Amino acid sequence: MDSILGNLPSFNPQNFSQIKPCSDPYISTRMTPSTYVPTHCTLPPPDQVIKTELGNILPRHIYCNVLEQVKPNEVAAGSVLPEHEFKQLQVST
Amino acid sequence: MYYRSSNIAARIFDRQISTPAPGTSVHHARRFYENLVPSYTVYEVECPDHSFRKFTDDGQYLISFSRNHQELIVYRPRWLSFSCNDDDCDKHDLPSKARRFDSFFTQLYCVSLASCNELICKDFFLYMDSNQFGLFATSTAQIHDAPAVGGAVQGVPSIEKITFHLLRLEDGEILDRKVFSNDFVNLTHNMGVFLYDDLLAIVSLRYQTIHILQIRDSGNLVHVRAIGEFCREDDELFLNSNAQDISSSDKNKQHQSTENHVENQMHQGQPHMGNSFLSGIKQRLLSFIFQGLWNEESDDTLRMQRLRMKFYFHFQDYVDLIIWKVQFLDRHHLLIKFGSVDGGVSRNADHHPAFVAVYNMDTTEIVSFYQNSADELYLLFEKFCDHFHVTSRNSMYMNFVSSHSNNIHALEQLRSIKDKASNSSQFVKKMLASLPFSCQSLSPSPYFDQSLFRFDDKLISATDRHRQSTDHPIKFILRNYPHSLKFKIKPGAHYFQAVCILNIKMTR
Repeated sequence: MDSILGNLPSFNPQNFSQIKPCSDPYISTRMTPSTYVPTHCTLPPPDQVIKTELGNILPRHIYCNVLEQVKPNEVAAGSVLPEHEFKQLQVST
Repeated sequence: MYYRSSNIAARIFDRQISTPAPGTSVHHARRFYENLVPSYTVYEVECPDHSFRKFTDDGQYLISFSRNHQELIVYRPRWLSFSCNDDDCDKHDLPSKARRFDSFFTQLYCVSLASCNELICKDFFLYMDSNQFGLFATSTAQIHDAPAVGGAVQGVPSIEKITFHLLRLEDGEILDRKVFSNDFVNLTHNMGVFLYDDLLAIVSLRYQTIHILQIRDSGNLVHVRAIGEFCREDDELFLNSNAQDISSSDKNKQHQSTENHVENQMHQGQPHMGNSFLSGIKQRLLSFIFQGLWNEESDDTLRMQRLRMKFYFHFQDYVDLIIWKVQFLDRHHLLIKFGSVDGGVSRNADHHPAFVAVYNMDTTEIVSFYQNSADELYLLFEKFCDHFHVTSRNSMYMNFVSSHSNNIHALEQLRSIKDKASNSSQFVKKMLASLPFSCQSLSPSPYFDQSLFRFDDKLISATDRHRQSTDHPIKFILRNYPHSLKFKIKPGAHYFQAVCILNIKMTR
């Protein structure tokens, strides 16, 4: 039998000669893997930098939870948004 | 499935020819601890009469204190070695030098930390393994009924002098000290202090201040900020510049108490503004709660009803909350536990209501606020338990401590407890009672790795806390094939002088 393993060195040269090709046409011994063809460009952005995030993932999740709660409850007028008012030194008269 | 032998020689050969799956090289190496287990106990070893505290996590030092709690004695573990060439080595007894304490440990130095009326807090020790610095604490006796002067919280005891000593463990040199006068910091099991990388958070329960210090490489303790009365660095300046306007309206009230408060105020470096203002951190908290409730409703009438029920009705309860405990989540965020005064000073605070808040030190804002029975917080705890146990970037071995977030067996145990719990709310409270975690309270020992060994965690676990001694031996059983008993520890008073020695056993 013409096996792809037939010419490789082995303990017993007759090992792979016992394999008989299957006669059933529905079961193929030579399976060609299907090739995936992407429909979009899979190249990374040219300025992409991959690095390990040093920050703790926990505060990030907490902020995400907070944003999820704030978004549906936001009201255009009347909501008390945290505005950072800069302190001004009052000059005493 | 590829069969892996449990024989150590076969494992070493396997390590030579095969590469572990990506990201599992450390886990692969830790499996060698299945073969390297304690297998011998030496009894009746004469030890020095010290109070032995713990080994440092890197195994470089053994920390102990003198019986009078005034001196620190540090030993270097030597790890006595012994080899046997006979066919049946198990029947061989160890050499006589194995029964001597100094065969295993070499005393490096003995340093006096406490003066005449001070004692070393033997439950307190923090280790900074990047520089091999150790942080110890000494204190004078507690005064339980101390008057609440100078902004102190009524009901919290006072300690005349608490001193934190920073030592270089290599030679015992005292690098720096930080003193807190007439204050109270909970030193038991490191509860009131948290070390993350080079940042140290010390919670003053009495004055409700979180002191953030930095440990420099030179060994200096540098004060970074104090969160409590003020949040931003310039809050004090701003309030002082307006003090004239404030004092004119409260002049009568302040004059009566000013004379008594001046001395204590200067000691703490925080001029007390009388009872006009709540502390900065308290104001942040109340604002956060108010904003949250305000934003939940769009209708003005419903909004006011909601505020009345959930904010103003409980306003005094929120004002009376005090900081119990603090931990770092990262270099910018603190996890702060708030509760009542009684819970802050009692040994068991599980029955007291408590709240947990996440505070951003840079923006000085409260990010989130949970009750100690909040399902949302529990979900975070269940999914990200590892990330609550923040570890120093230099301590890679701490990333492999088993928790229910990274270990299927620990998760199954947690779910089993959850299924057996009769009340879901009580279960959540019980689980969240451990937050914030105490610093360096977990042992990184691979023998506590739940993917390697199965043991009864009621008798022993990675958590550094006192447990009741039992007469039953504590068994460590292999998780993987062949699921055999690998070793056992026999606790009990008559074994207190025992020393365990590692022995490599050739297993099948």
